[in-house]
Amino acid sequence: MPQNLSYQQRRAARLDDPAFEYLRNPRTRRRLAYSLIALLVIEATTFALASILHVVLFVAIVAVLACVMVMLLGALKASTRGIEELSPDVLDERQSQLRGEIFKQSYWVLATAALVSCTLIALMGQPWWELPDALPFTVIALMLQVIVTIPTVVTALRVRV
Amino acid sequence: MVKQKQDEQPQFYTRLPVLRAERGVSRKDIAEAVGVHYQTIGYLERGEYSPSLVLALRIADFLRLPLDAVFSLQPFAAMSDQIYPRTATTDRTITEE
Repeated sequence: MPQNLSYQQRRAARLDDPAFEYLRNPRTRRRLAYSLIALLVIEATTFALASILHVVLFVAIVAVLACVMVMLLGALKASTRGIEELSPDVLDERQSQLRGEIFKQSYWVLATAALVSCTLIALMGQPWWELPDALPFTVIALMLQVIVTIPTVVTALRVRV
Repeated sequence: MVKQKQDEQPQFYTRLPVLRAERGVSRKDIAEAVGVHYQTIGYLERGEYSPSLVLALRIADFLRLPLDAVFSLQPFAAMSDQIYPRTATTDRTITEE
C-alpha cells in the first residue's frame, strides 16, 4: 500500500480486502447484524443486573462483551466494505447513493430509539414506578452504542452493498 | 442487453457485458479506468444501477464507442441480427427446419 494515501483511502482499502470476501453475502451479513443486536441486549441485561452481580464477575462479563463487540463490528464493517463510515471522497457514485440511503434509514431508527429512551427517562422520575438504579445508566450506555453501530447494522440488514 | 429493474419500468439498456466479453476486458479493468468500484460495473451490467451521465460517458470513452452504442433507452437489436440480417430466404429455411 503506498504511504502517501490518506487515512480514508487506507481504511477503504483495508475494508475492501478480498480476504474478507467470505463475509460479503446477505446471509452472513444478516447473521452478524443479529448477533450484534443480541449482544446489545445481553449487555443491557448485564448492566440492569449490575447491582446483584459480584464486581469481578460484572467486570469480566463486560470485558468479554466488549471484545466480542469489537470483533463483530469489525467483521460487519468488512462485510459491508465500510461504505457507511467512509468519506464520500473515497466512495464511487453508487456507494455514495447507498450511503445516503443508509443514513436516512438510520435517522429513522435513531429517532424512534431516542423517543423510546426519552419516554423511559421521563417515566423514571415518576414516584409510582420504582425502577432499578442502574436503568438510567443502562439506557444511556445502550443509546451511545446504538448510535455508533446503527449505520452498520442498517447497511447489513437493509442495503444491497 | 439488460434492462433496469426499478418500479418494473426499464430505465435503460446496456451492451456493456457483450462489449466487455468481446474485448476480453474484466470488470475490474473497466472499473479502474473509469474510477468506480468493480461491483458498480456489475450492478450496472445487471441493470440494477443507473449510471450518471459522466460515468456513462467515461465508459463509452474507455470502449472508444459513441455513448448510444453502449447505453440506450430502447432495447438493442441482437448483434447476430445486425451482423447477419435475416432475409426472406433464411427465414423460410428456419421455418422449414
